[in-house]
Amino acid sequence: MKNKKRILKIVSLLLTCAVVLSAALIIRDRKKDFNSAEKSTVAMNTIMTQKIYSEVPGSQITDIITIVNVLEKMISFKDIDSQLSILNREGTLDNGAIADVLRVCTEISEKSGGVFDVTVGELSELWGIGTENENIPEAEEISSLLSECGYEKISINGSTVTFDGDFSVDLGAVGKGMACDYIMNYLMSSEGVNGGVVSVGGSIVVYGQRNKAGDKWRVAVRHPRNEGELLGVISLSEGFVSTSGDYERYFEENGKRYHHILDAESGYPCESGLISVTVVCDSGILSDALSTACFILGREKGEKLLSEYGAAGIFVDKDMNITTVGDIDFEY
Amino acid sequence: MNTDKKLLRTLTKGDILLAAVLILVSLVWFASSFASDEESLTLKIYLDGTESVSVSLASLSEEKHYTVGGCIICADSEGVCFEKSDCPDGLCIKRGRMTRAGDAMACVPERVVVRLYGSDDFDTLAY
Repeated sequence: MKNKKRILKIVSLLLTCAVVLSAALIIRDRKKDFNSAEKSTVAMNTIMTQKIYSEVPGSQITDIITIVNVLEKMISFKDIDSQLSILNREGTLDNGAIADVLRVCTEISEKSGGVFDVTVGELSELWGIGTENENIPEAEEISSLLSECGYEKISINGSTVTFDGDFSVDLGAVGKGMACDYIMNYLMSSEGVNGGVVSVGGSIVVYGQRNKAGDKWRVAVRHPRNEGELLGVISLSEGFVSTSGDYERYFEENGKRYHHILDAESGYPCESGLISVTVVCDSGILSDALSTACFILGREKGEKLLSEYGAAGIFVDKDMNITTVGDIDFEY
Repeated sequence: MNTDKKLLRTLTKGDILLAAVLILVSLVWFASSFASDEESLTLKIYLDGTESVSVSLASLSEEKHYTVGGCIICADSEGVCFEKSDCPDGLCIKRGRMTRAGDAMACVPERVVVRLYGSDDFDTLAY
């Protein structure tokens, strides 16, 4: 009788431990409950990382690489066979995708008073920032190229784009955001995809669920000055995030930093007092274009521009003051 | 209430010891499964999107050099950096050393990506 009671107590203890352990394991594994696959590669002249949650995640990763490579072939400034190069060479092109992206670009150029302008392709080439040819060009060379540029010299009629002048368009400021739009469309139309996060350089798309608990996605923003450190983390359910900063590509001469984001009014790297701008919105092209435009415009005008598009943002100035704008969940 | 007291009185020192040991073992195992996630950094090196190297940094007792594409990548138990590259601009070498989970760097001309995986508290990082 005494032995029976003892065995019963031991079994009860073991059962209690098993229940406690099972509960702990369930809590621990709630965040890892979808199949996932990750891959990093070079695309669009930068790092592309993917994490896809789905029943068969590997296949989507391969498809996304193909989608981005095809887009790169179409809008590459360097590839002489790209559709964009044909437009730059011949001054006219019938291509719906390029017409659509240029519509967005010219609208933002207009709203930013012309400081954001994708027609400064040859000026960017002249500066060569981030390449082995980076240099400070002569003032005469800059003003000569600037006189040829101007977003208002682009005409768009349906899917046909025509240039009224001798200039080149560089879609570097919006190409990665455009890729994020394509990736979002693909993920939305793919069967069996639970969710995914893809970054193409400073442009990010997050889609669907990251786990069954429905936790928000967490997108880290790099510290603009301290390499390897984070500025903070944005939490969001779905959408696009783009960051523009003076730390991405730059060189220094006589103690002055020359970064790659050019002010299309002056022809020089902009000096708005900002060192990093992150934009969150519901379009990849917009988030990419707005982060660049706001970086050039500065905090006050940038805030106004973001509000016109219902976008949210994080502005960091050279004294490391951080300002958040709009509806954004940012921990820092 | 009286029944509970009676039940408690029937527990021997051995029963209590057994229960304590079981709970302790469970807690240690549970905590260690989290700790192993948090502490380990895995280095992955990709060439043209294909994984060429995958190694736990904790397993490196001394500096190790990996030749991938036209790059030589140097790793030790705490971090990783590009040491040499055939690329014309050398931007990958200027990038310096990387020690944080979730961080990545690339030699774009050589199409080599280096990334550290671990239990970072975020899903992706804007580079």
